[in-house]
Amino acid sequence: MIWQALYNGVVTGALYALVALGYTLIYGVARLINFAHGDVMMVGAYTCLFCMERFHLPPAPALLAAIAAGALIALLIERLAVRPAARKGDRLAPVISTIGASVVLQAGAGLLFGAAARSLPGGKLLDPIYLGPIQTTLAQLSTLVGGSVLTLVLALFLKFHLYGQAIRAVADDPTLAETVGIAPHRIAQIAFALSGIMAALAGIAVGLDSSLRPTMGYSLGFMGFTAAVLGGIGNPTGAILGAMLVGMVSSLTGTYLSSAWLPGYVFGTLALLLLFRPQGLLPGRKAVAT
Amino acid sequence: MTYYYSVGILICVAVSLAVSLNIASGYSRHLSLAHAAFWGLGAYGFALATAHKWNPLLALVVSVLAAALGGLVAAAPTLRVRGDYFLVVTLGMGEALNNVLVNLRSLTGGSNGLSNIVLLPGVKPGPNIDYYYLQVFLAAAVVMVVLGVLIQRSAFGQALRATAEDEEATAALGRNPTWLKVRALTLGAACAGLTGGLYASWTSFISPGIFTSSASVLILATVLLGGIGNIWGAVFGAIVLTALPEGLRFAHVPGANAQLWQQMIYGLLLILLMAVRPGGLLPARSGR
Repeated sequence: MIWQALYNGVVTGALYALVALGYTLIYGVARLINFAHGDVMMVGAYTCLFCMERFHLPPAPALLAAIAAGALIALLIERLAVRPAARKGDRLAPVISTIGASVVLQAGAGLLFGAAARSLPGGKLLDPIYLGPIQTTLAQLSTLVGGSVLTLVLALFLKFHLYGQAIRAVADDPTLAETVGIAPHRIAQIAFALSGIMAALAGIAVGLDSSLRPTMGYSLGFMGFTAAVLGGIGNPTGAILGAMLVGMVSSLTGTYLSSAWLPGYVFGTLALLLLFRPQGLLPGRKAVAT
Repeated sequence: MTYYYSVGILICVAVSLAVSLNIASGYSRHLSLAHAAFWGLGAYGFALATAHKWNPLLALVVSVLAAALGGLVAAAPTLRVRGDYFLVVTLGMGEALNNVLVNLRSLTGGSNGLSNIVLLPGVKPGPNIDYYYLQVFLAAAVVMVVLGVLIQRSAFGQALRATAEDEEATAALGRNPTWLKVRALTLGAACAGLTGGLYASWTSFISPGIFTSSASVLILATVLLGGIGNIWGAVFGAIVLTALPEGLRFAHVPGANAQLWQQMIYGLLLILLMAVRPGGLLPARSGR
């Protein structure tokens, strides 16, 4: 049973890492907690469902459509909600704008798809597979492998690609980055688009494993957000570590204690850690006073 | 007529919650996302105390104390955690408390909540209940607004605003920033608790689904929409955001989707307002 619990923890951690990285990237370049991030996941998952049900698309093109939708919605949030509110230099206004965007997206999904829970047609993806003592599914394996590969690609992008380096530069010192000719808005858009892509994939993974609801982004968002803060928000490596920690806590407490108390356990971990390391596991962006 | 009374009560509840959050967080700018949890502590405190045959007025005292204790616990992380991290810790605290309300079934009734909560003394069940409660809630809201105005003008309020500007400087001038923030959070939470106790006795039914983190987010949005750090902003924001959905009802928005359209317009309004007036509808003036 311990192997199964550890394996589930790693799978959940890979999923949370996708979400946490989105929060942390956006926090790094825009200094803002994106309250609509969870809803971008929801949009991705529903786009996939819509394409498969309405247009009878095979899974692969539906997946691509969902990724495109995630990136597009994230870009729209940046352009229509965050940037206009940030124009006058108030630090809180863009955060509230993302709360507004979250409410709009949830209401829109409710109007289009109804409030009832739906599920993605997983087919063979959900058949059980046995790897020694561990029971899994193709969907979980793809979450694990896909999540890890994507995380690795993102890490390489941030390290070596010109735009990745620009993202790190803006996160480090926006004013200095601007003086060397980096356009902060362009960089913010790239960060939002990347976070949208990862969020859409996370949404589909959740949609395969459990169900879709207009409010589904809320609990997953809370976990990803906690993971990002645990790791030190603004620090991508920290976000991955935080996600693994939250994934393990969820899986181990779910197996050996009770899954009903999950939010309590996750919050307990967060409270304990922040009490001893107020900046998270790894040094992140110094949290600016609100 | 009772329809207008109940809308009036909802507006008073929104005003009380917004004003109490403004006291807790508005001046020190330590934004709390646990406010609905304090409201819930008050409501459950009242329901449980009256279930044990306590006098409802004594039960209201329990409401206030339970929420104040919650505020004190929530204030503990201010010793070490600042800014955005405080937002996260209070969000987690609200989630954890909701989790407790759902899971401690023998005490809280789980997700089904508690029902048949008693009325305040002197109220006879009947069509006049809402009229009576409107007066009670209005009185509570007025008391909180007056309290808010007094704090806003007092040396305490000024010191709180100073901690938001510069904690080290405030400490250097002989004021303890942590103690200031702890007092503000506890006081704001106590006010939310009183609102919760009254709310439980009015609706006679409460469940964890009411006191969620989304409710906390909405209360915070109300304060920010009205103008943080200004009591009148909080009052105005609460009235606008409560009256708006009710107004939409008269605009003949199609039946089943009406609530979703309300949400949609509410969200768009928030985005639009933050682009036009980032300080809120009635921004706090400095130097007051």
